[in-house]
Formats: sequence, structure tokens, C-alpha cells
Amino acid sequence: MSGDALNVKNLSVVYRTEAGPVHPVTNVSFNLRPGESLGLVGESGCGKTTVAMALLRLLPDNGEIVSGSIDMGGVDIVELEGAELEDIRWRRISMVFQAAMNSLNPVHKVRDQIIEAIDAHETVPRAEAEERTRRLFDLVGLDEQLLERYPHEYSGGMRQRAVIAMALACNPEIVIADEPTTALDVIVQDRILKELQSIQDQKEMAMIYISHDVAVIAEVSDTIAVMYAGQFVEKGPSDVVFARPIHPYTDALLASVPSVRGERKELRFLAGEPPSLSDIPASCPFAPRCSRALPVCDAEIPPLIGDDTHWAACHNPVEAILS
Amino acid sequence: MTAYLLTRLGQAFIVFFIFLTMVFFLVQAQPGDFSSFYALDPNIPPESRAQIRASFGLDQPMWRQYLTYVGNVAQGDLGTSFQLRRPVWDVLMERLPRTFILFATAAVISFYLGFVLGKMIAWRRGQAIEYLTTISGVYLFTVFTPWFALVMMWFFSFKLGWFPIGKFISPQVWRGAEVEANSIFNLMLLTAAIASGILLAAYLVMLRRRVKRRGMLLTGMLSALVLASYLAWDMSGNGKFAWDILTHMALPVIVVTAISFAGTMLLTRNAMLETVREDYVLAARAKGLPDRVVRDRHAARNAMLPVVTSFVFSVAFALDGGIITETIFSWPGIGLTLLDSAGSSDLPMAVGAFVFTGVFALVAHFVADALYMVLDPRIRT
Amino acid sequence: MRDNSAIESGLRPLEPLWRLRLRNTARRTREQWRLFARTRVGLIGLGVIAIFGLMAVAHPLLMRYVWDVSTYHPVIGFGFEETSHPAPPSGRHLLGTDPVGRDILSMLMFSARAEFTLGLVAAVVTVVIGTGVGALSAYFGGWVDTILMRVADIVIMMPTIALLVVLGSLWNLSFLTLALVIGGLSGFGATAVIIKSQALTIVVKPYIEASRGAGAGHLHVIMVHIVPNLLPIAFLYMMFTVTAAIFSEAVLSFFGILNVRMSWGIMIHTAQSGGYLLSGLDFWWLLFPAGLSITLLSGSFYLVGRALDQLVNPRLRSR
Ligand SMILES: Nc1ncnc2c1ncn2[C@@H]1O[C@H](COP(=O)(O)OP(=O)(O)OP(=O)(O)O)[C@@H](O)[C@H]1O
Ligand SMILES: [Mg+2]
Repeated sequence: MSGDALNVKNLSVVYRTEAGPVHPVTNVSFNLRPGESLGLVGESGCGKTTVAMALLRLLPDNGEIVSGSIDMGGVDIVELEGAELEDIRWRRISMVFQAAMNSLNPVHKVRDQIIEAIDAHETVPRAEAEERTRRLFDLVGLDEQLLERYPHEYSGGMRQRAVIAMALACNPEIVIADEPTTALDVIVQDRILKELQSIQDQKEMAMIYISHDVAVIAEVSDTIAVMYAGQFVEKGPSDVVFARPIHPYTDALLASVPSVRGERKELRFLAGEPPSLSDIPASCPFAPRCSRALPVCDAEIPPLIGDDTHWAACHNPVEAILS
Repeated sequence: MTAYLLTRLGQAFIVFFIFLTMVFFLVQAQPGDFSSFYALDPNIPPESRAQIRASFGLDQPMWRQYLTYVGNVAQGDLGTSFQLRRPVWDVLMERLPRTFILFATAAVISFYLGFVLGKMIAWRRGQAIEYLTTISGVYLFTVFTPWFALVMMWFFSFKLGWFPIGKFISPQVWRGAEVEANSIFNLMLLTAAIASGILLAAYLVMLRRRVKRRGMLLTGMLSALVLASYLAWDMSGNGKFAWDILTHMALPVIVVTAISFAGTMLLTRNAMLETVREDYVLAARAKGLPDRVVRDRHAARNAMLPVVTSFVFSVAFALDGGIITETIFSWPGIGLTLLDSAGSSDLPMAVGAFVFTGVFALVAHFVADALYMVLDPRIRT
Repeated sequence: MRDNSAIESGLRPLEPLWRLRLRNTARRTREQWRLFARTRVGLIGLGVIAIFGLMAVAHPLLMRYVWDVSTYHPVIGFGFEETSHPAPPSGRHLLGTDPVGRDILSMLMFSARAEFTLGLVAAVVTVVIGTGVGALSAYFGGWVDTILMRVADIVIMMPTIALLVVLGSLWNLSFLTLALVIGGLSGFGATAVIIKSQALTIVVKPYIEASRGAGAGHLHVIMVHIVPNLLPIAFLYMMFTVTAAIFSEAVLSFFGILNVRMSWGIMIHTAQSGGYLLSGLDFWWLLFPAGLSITLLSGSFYLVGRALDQLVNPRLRSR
């Protein structure tokens, strides 16, 4: 599978807390082709941000990658240290943070914050760096005048665009966008998503979109991965997954968004809570909430069914799988 | 920007006015009045007591006295010292630079030192070193200042003999000198002011021009300036006098610095622990910036804001430390004056020194406000 | 926490409210203690305070049962057996004697009690004034707030020692007046500002509005609904007042401004006026026991305050 922009294998993360270890990410594997866009969807708290942070090796002090590898063009990010790690960050893989509003430092001009990212990775003359920031602002639809301003002089939407511009500053191969539009109103949200897509096409970079909102993911991603309790439960091409989900959890998620399938169904919300991440059962984590649960679901780890392009981990899938 | 500063200036004046009012009533509320202090002075015959009372306006109604008092202070008239028989204002103005230089030097050094150490402790947290620095920091912060000053004096002046023991000058050096200690001292202040002015200007220019390696260049300039002023003083022939004052100043500065830097250090540490959790620090790390840059340009730069805000507390604390230190080292500044005059019931002098201390605190507070404005763009616009 | 007691009283209507509150408080205290104990810094502080507490308690017992009063009395005692004073530490005088023949250890222990009393009085004054000012300022707002906060500004800016020196020249400062002044300064100054900001978060709670609507007077609302919520944070700042009180007392005694018979500050003052200060380590027992005691005790209250601060502001809590 060389030629992938990113290849994650059996990634597991723990957070060590006073109450004992928490497992926000368990045995996650996926790959990302150059130019592909992957949508990562799941309920709040299922570990999406943790996956992103692990990819950048930015887990908090109490978090640790306990197993797995993150292969990026032959380099295993998990093994990197110090300067090598700093070199990968932003130049090859950058990120739009979930709290994009707060990821701009209030005491520095936005332009300086973008230029410092460029300076950290390339030696370019000041004038050229400034020229690049202007182009970036054009790209995300911001007035160049704003470059001279401080973050507090920006509106929420402007900040979001500025953060996106910053993420593109070093022409990375992969950009992770963690809930890039959650805090914005629907119209701005839509416009920014469209722009992101067109930028992605222009720049031929791979993207990982993270959202709890299936509608957003449906709009922007080629491939979709559904996450539940720190595990990937289903992954496949977006259109296929939306048309024929395998996993009951995916089915339930989709059912809660009527517009995705075009048909008006009665809204179904999932009853119950996701399991505690501190003791993940050695069985299907979704079983207690699953309408299709069988006795085996509570007893055994579900098998992977489907094929390489579209698979799920389930004992009793929604779609009959031909294999 | 100027509007903000003007508002703050206005507030400072109001606060000063309230302060003055409180001082006035404090003096009024004490048993007896101004004139009763003359009773201690055997040179004044009892029959002229009434005359003195009248000359002080003490036979007037209280509100009248109050207005007179405020008016006098506004004109720089703080009365006449019983002891020195000189206008309080003149005495204090003569001594103010000595306190100022002690305080300013110690404030700058302790702020720098406390800030640098505080950010380093916070950055490497959760280790034994953190407990150690916190505990020693706290005890240094709350150390019994007179005792600490005495121990320092004993060790550095007495045991090692590096510095003279207290006072402003050594008489044997100045015997037969044609210049006054004060004029030398003022010249020294001028030298220091010019040097810091040049450094500040150079720093601002470098910031504008985005010169890299500013630290190294500044250090170089500083050494050059020190060398230049050394040569200038040496050639003027007054070098040994300046040197004498300098050696007298060194230990008090060290002591005031030592007791106040711990406060800044602990404060910076706490502020850093909050800023390191901010998303922009995470973003800075994600950008692949070197660890040191993330710490300094992002985390510490923001942690500086609350530290500057609580400068008010530090000012009061450092002034207290200054008073104690001046007294122990017999450094003839405002603090020693305050303590001496209070001890010898020289009321106009004591109250005057207290008012000066208050003004000093107010000015320092105002400077901190201005500094905050420079540091935080959210206030500037 | 409030909700808890409401739920519990709903479940067990027969139990009187005060007992529920008491139990709640006990449980919360246990929880807080667990957290406090983990901040090792606070434990160290508490340990040092306990040692001084023991000394304070032991002194009257020693005077009554062990030490001969005429030899060991902290103010008027005299070590007859020694040939000259100050005498170095010996079996009879564990920390030696001072220039006028008094036993250093006895003076040290005697003074510890005075320091605790001083600190306690100042702290209580701080809590009362600080809570009052903070609550009034937050509750009424407007000009009450403006005036109280401007006063707080001045008090915060004021160098305490300078003010006390002036006060000392105008009045006769005793231990009690000193405690009152320091408590007052802290209560009107920093503590008031911090408590006010806490009170501001309480006055907007719906139950305040509801209580007012139900016809409760201002005083009732403040005393029953606001003040109890402010006490924990007031307790925290009380610790810093104790630090200030011990420190100021020592400085003023040292300068001879305070009208007290014996304290750690006086001990250093005595040594200094006897001209023993620059003798360095030759007469270390004159300088170090008292100087260290002042530093350690005031510093320890500060450490405890910091540790409590970490409980109140969980963001500082180390993970
Ligand atoms: N530093 C930490 N220490 C302990 N637990 C943590 C830490 N950070 C996150 N968690 C827990 O790990 C789990 C996964 O968190 P994560 O932020 O990855 O979720 P998420 O899917 O991004 O959720 P959201 O959609 O709300 O952003 C959550 O249950 C969270 O409570
Ligand atoms: Mg998230």
C-alpha cells in the first residue's frame, strides 16, 4: 500500500487519569490516498480529536500512544522525536483546530502568526513570505488589510478562514480539519466548506474532516469512517456507506439526518449513553444500545465483514453482505 | 490608546486625592495636634504655642484646614521638618532619586529574573525541581526581610568584604573632594538614563526592522555602553567617587531584588500553567515551532499579562522591602527618612515621606498600566 | 452542593436541614482534604505550622512543670548559672541566652503563641470585613460598589509597613491594634476585591431573585444566601493575612515601633541593639532561631494558602 499519503495501523491511545486509564482510541487503522478526503464521524467524546492529536503527536501530557504506527511516506511518526517531529508538523501535516477561534494568539498580528509557521520550515525572504500570506488570504476570501490586524478584530467566520489560511501556509500533504465549522452559522458554514473543497482540489492535498455532524461529512468527504467508543466501526466510500450502511450504529446515525438520503423518515435518536472509555468491553461496544443486538454481541469481539473498500465490525449487520 | 492612558491618569489623580484625604484625617484623628509635637522641642517656649497653632492654621475650622492642606500639597508645600529645619519637600526631593534608583533597578532585575525562572519552572512541571523552587520561592518571598538583609550584609560586607557596610558613601574616599556626593549621584543617574534610552531605542528599531538575534546584539550594545561610561567617568576624574556610590548601592539592590523576584516567579509560574493550556499554544506546537519559541513567544508572552496586572501588589511589597532595606543599610532614601522621622516624632517629615511613598506607588502603578497597554493589543484599540 | 442538599431533603423530609448541611459539609471537607493532601507543598506548610503550634502549647506547660520561672521566664528571666551573657547553647539553655540573660528557647516558644493569636485575630477581622465589603459591593453595585472598590484600590497600593510606621508614630500600637489594622487592610483591600468577584457570580443566581421576590430583606438575602457561599474563599485569603500579620509584627517590633514585651521581632531587635548582629556566626543563636521562625511560620501559612488556592482554582491543579 505504498503511495498512500498516510497509513495508520492499529493505533491505540490511553489517557492516564486519577480514576485510572481511559482508552479514547483503540486499534484504529486506516489509510489515506493523496488528494483523498476522509470524513471521521461519531458522537461527541468518541475519540475523534484524540486520533487527530495522535497523528500530530500533540497528545496532552497524560496521553500516550501505546501501540500502532503512523506511516507517512516511509516515516513512522510514532517514532519521531524533537526536531524531526517539528519538521513534519505543518510542513507535511497541518491542522485546523476544533476551537479554531482560540487557536490564534491574541497578542500577535495574524500575519506574524502565519509567517512564523513559514519561517519555521523554510528560509524565504520576508517579502516573499508576506506575499504568500496575501495569496493565502485571497484563497480563503479574506481582505488583505486584515493581515495587519489582531485576532480580536476579526469576526468568528473571519477567524475561521484565517486559521484555514494558516493551515495551508506550508503546502502540507495532509490537512486535518477538526469540526472546522461547528461554531458558525449555517450559511457561513456552507460557504467555508465549499471553499475548503475547492482549495483541496487546487492543491491536491489529502484532508481529514472531523465532525459529529453526518450532513457536513456527507458534503465534503470521499470516504467516511464511523467511530464509536474509540473504535472504527465502519469505513467505506461515502456514497456507498450512505446508501447501504453495514453497521447498525451507522444506520442509526444516518437515520438521524433525514436529508442525507433525501427521503423524509421519522427522526430516530439513539437511546442510552456510549460506554465508558475506561473499561472497553471485549465485545461489541455498541451492543447495549443496538436494536439488532444478539446474545453473541455481548460476548465476542465482532468480526470485520465486507471488503477492503467498505467494511464494518459487526455480528448482525444491517445489509446482507455478499462475500 | 491615548484615551485609555488619559482615563487611567484621571483615575490616578482621583485615587491620589482620596489618599491625601485619608492621610489628612489620619493625622487629625491622632491624639493632640501638630503643635503638641513642638512640646518635645525644648527650644520653643510654651507661650508661643498659641502663635504656632495659629501659624499652622490650627485654630481654623477643620474643613478650612483640609482645603489649606490639599492646596499646600498641590504646591509642593509639605511643611517644615522639625528636626532638619528644612522644607520637607526639599529634603524628600533630594532623597527621592536614591530611592528611585534602588527601586527601579531592583524592579527591573527582579521582574526579569522572576519571569525567566517562573516560565522555566512552569514549562518543566511536575518534577522535583518544581516543589523545590516553589517552596524556596515562597520562603524567600516571605523571608523576614530585616533578618535577611542583615545576614546578607554580614556575609557579603563583613565576611567577604566585597561591599562596604551600609551608608551612601565612604567618608574617607570623599575627604577633600571638591564635588558633592549628590551631584555625582545625579550625573550617574543621567548616565544610566542615557544608556537605557539608547538600549530601548535600539531595541525598538530592531523590532521594527525584524532584526534576528536581538538578544545577542543587545548584550553587545550593553557591554559597549558599560565600557563607554566607565571610560567617560574614569577620564572625568570623578570615577572613584562614582565607584564608591556604586559599591554602596550594590548590596541593597541585591537584597531588594532577592526578596521581590520570588513573588514574580511564583506569579509567572501560575500564569504560565494557565496559558500552556490555551489552544494557541497547542496550535503553536502544531506549527512545528521549536519548543523554546512556543514557550517564549506564545505561552510566556501571554502569561506576562496577568503578571503585569498584579504589579500593583508587587509595588507595595517592593516598597515595603525597600523601606526595610534602606533602614538596615542606612541608605538615605525616602524609606529611611520615613522611619527616622517617625521614630523622632518629626510629624511633617514622616507624613511627607508617606505621601511621597504613596505617590511613588501611584506612579509605578500608572507605568504598569501603560506597559500593559503596550503588551495587550486588545486594550490598545 | 446546594442542589445535593435539596435532593436529599426531598428524599428524607424528616431529617432537619441543619443536619443535612452538616453532613454535606463533612463530606465535602473530607474530599477537599484528600485533594489538599495531594498538594505536597500544602502539607509541608501544615507540618511546619503544627510544629510551631506544639511549641506554643508546650510553653505554659514547661513553665509550670519543668522550667524554673526565675531562670526561664521569657521576659524577666535570667540564667544565673551562666558566667556571661549571651551564653552559647548548653544543656541548661538549649538555644543559649540573649544579651540580658534570658533563655532563647523559652522566648521563642512564648512568642509563638503570641504570633498565632495575632494571626488569628487579623484573619478573623479579614474574613468579616472582606466578606462584608465583597458581598455589599456585589449585591448593591452602583455607587456602593464604586466607593468600596476605589478604597480597595488605595489599600492595595499602600505599602503596609510604611503605613504602619506612620500609624506607630501617631498612636501607640499594641498587639491588638496591629491585628485589627492588618486584618482591616487585607479585608478592605485585596480580599475584598477577590471576594467581590466571587460574589458577583452568586448574586446572579436565580435563587437570589426568588428569595427577593418572596419578600426577603436585603440583609436576609446577603446573610443567608450570599455570605455562606463566600466563606470558603474568604478562608483561603485568611491564610495570606496571617502571613502579613506575622511579618509586619516582626518588622515593626524589630524597628521598635510596636509596644509589645516579647516577640520574635523583639528578639532580633534586642540582638541588634546589643551590637551582636555583624558578629555573624559567632552569636548565631541570637539571630537565627527568631529570624528563621518568622520566615518559616509566615511562609508556611503562605504555602497552605497557595495549596488551598489550587483547590479553589482547579485549573492550577497538577494533573
Ligand atoms: N487529557 C485527557 N485526559 C483524560 N481524558 C481525556 C483527555 N482528553 C480527552 N479525554 C477523554 O477522551 C475521550 C475522547 O475525547 P476526544 O476529545 O477525542 O473526543 P471527540 O470525539 O473529539 O469529542 P467532541 O466531538 O466532543 O470533540 C473523551 O471521553 C474525553 O473525555
Ligand atoms: Mg473533538
